[in-house]
Amino acid sequence: MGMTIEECKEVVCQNYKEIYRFALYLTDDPIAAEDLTQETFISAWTSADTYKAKSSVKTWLHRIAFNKFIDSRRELKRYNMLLDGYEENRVKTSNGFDPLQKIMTDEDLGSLYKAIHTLKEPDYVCIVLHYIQGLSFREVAKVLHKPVGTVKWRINQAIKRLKDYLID
Amino acid sequence: MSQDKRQNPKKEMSLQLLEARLRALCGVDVPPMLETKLLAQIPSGQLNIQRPLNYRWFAFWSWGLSTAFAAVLILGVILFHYSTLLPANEFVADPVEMPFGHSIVKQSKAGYGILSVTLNSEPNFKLSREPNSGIKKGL
Repeated sequence: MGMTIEECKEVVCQNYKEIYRFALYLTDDPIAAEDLTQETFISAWTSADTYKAKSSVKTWLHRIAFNKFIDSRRELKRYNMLLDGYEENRVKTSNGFDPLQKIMTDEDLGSLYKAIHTLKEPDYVCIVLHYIQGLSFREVAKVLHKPVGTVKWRINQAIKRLKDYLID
Repeated sequence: MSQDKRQNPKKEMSLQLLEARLRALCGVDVPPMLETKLLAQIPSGQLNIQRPLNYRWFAFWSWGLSTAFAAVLILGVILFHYSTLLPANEFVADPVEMPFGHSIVKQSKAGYGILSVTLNSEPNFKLSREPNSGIKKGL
């Protein structure tokens, strides 16, 4: 069953904000996030045949975005950038656009944003996908190619660590 | 679990608050031209993307069809069973003696084996319990 251009446009309009947000949390860089979002959609159109319709389009796009991020990180060694901290890497685009402005101006959210960056990467990704992206445990498991039980366990552990961090 | 909640309401509240704040981290602004850029990248022609299955409808129809199939099957078996039963006068076999004096008094003519078996509810040995019977005497 094929998809017309109009339907593809609908897919973009419905999902691009979420994919950009996910990319932003993965890369912690607005420019890299924009690139990753574009790469995700380009990859989606070129590998459309591989979509088996077993999961929703949203989950499928998240999976592509995560795989693209892993690939790009291997190439550019962004992993170290992600672990080094968020402030050094949080650059604004040339026109001064800061996608995290709303979050960083709120004191509580700002401290929580810092707190989630102290998590280990697998826990961090689970937290981002489940709470920020609004995916269910099953969808998170599909995106990360992990069992649902592992995802639940990781989120539990991450929540405990976050609580400890915020209490301290 | 619920006892823990009652014992530690503060802790439970803080977890809910933490989850609510985590969800509030979704307030991210999107670059204004991103949508236009993405729309421009859609290739022309029809893409071979399968539409996702609507699992709810799929579950509903599969359940409905399997139930209907099972019902038809059971009904068919019942109808077949009763349709092959012949009237009593057409059962030809003599009563077959069974252990304890039961006997099969009906047997189908149709050749499908024994379709209906009526057991003689009064076994023969009942007679032996009557006064002056051999068993009584033996006891």
